Amino acid sequence: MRVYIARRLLLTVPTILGTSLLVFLILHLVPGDPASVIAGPTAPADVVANIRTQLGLDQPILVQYWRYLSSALHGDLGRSILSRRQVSDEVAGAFLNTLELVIAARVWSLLIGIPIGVLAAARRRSIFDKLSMVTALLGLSLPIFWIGLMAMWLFAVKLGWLPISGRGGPIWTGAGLLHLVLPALTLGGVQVPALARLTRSSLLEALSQDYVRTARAKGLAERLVVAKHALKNAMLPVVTVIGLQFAGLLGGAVVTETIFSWPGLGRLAVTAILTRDFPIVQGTILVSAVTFVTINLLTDFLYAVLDPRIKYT
Amino acid sequence: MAVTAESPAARPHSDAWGRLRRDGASMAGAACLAALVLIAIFAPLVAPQDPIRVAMRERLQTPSRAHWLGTDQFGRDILSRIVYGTRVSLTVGLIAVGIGLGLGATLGLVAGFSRRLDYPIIAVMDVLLSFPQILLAIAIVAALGPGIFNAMIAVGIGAVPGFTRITRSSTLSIRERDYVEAARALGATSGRIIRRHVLPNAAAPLIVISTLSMAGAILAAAILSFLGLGARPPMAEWGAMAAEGRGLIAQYPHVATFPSLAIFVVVLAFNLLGDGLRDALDPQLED
Repeated sequence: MRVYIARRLLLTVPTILGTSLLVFLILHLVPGDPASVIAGPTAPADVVANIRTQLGLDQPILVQYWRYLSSALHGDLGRSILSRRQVSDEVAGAFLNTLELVIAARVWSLLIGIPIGVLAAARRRSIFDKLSMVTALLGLSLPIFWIGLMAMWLFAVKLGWLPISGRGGPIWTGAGLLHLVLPALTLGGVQVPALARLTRSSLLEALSQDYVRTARAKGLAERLVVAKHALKNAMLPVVTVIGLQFAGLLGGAVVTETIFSWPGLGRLAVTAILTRDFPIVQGTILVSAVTFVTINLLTDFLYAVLDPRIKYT
Repeated sequence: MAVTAESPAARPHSDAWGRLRRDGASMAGAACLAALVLIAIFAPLVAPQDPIRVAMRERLQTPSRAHWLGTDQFGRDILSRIVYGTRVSLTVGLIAVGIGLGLGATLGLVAGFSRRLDYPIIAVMDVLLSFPQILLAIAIVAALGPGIFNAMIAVGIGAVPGFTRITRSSTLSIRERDYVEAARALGATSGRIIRRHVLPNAAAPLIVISTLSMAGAILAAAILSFLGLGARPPMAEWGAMAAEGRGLIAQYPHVATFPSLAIFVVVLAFNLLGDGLRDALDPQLED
């Protein structure tokens, strides 16, 4: 197990380095002179020169990357061109808000998605199975922004049950919790169909295995066959997908945060792109990607814990 | 001497076509897509009005006989804009998937055939996969600048790693088969083996992934436009139209709803067809 963890950790190093290189290159892929693009077409030459120096664009590219990497490793991601604040400060605050949203969405999507998949598989070909799978297929095709807008229209505008947008405060306050409901409902709702479909197909496969037949043959109640024998094995691919779905959650958070004016990483990134605040763009994307890599790493570890066959490979 | 070692995929997929035809859902998806393609081609004939004609006196009308799906804040006919938007969305999907497929399949073939280039290609793909797809697209748009053309490129590049991995794994498995060995023994070059054996056998998963990727690409491009990073006004693009309706959601929810439903229909159609193709081309995957 230790060897597996050590090897998996080592394999993450080149990925993180590559990720940082790609994020670093964002600025250098800008058509033309990035400093002029940031300063705008009418900016005086000294302003452009200032930005060039500030971003280190007057240095050789390898030097620039080395400086970027070593600064990033020390938590220094530069300064925002607009607010002049440290990027790490702006990104840290937004990251915590995104984390709050993503965890809330993850928890509720698991609480809904997995039971639906289990029930659909346990009652295969029943009305519930057919209805839930058709709904899941329809749900997979709905654009997340429309789900968000409709949730806002129904629960905030028409019924007036929930606040329309923004973050009301820390999650442990009533206002904070109420403001979290709609964005989390939207973001988690998008994940439910895929989770339900996968849980169903994975459980159906487990239910067709010999050990399930044996359990049934010895007279075990169907509920126990599903819960004790099939479900544990069916959960292995589901765990992987739960990890991979964090990509969808982080991506979906960009849209959800924009709709509900939630002050997270996604909204910060989109605003920064539109205002050409490149250090913020780089900071938000780097943090999102590193978070995703870390989640994948943790998923692999969890997978190894759940499936003993992986330990020594 | 002609190399005639036969590979299984060289035979026509008549069984697959039969299975696909019997699948009502995927046939419905295919029919819907055929209709959408016709709408896109004949948009000027189908659309009741000019999609960018501003008529402030007719602004924000709910659905009526004159405007079946109502009008937006500039009095533009929403149905006409949706009809023209079909062109944009299908084109965006085709070009983005074309970029993903073209680059991805080429890199996958090279990685599968060249032991020297395999690791570097897969390492780069792993880095690209370390970005959630929409964030990778956002990163690329950040560099290239907002706009529908750059959004297409961004979504296409985001799709490359998936195509590369599928093609590579197919190539690795196919190149070890007996018929490839036989072809090699008969003196076939790598290029001929790729053309005659690897590509036809790798085609099935690539067709499935391409169809499903169309759904993903159209959705991703619509999301970019919704965020203001894709299509710019006054272009009739569904994601941008939904974004314009965002501020009006309290009183005029139809402005954002109809373009969103158009996205839903096209994405669902591609998903249904993709699912059907997957089951037809690889019945083992069917649960």
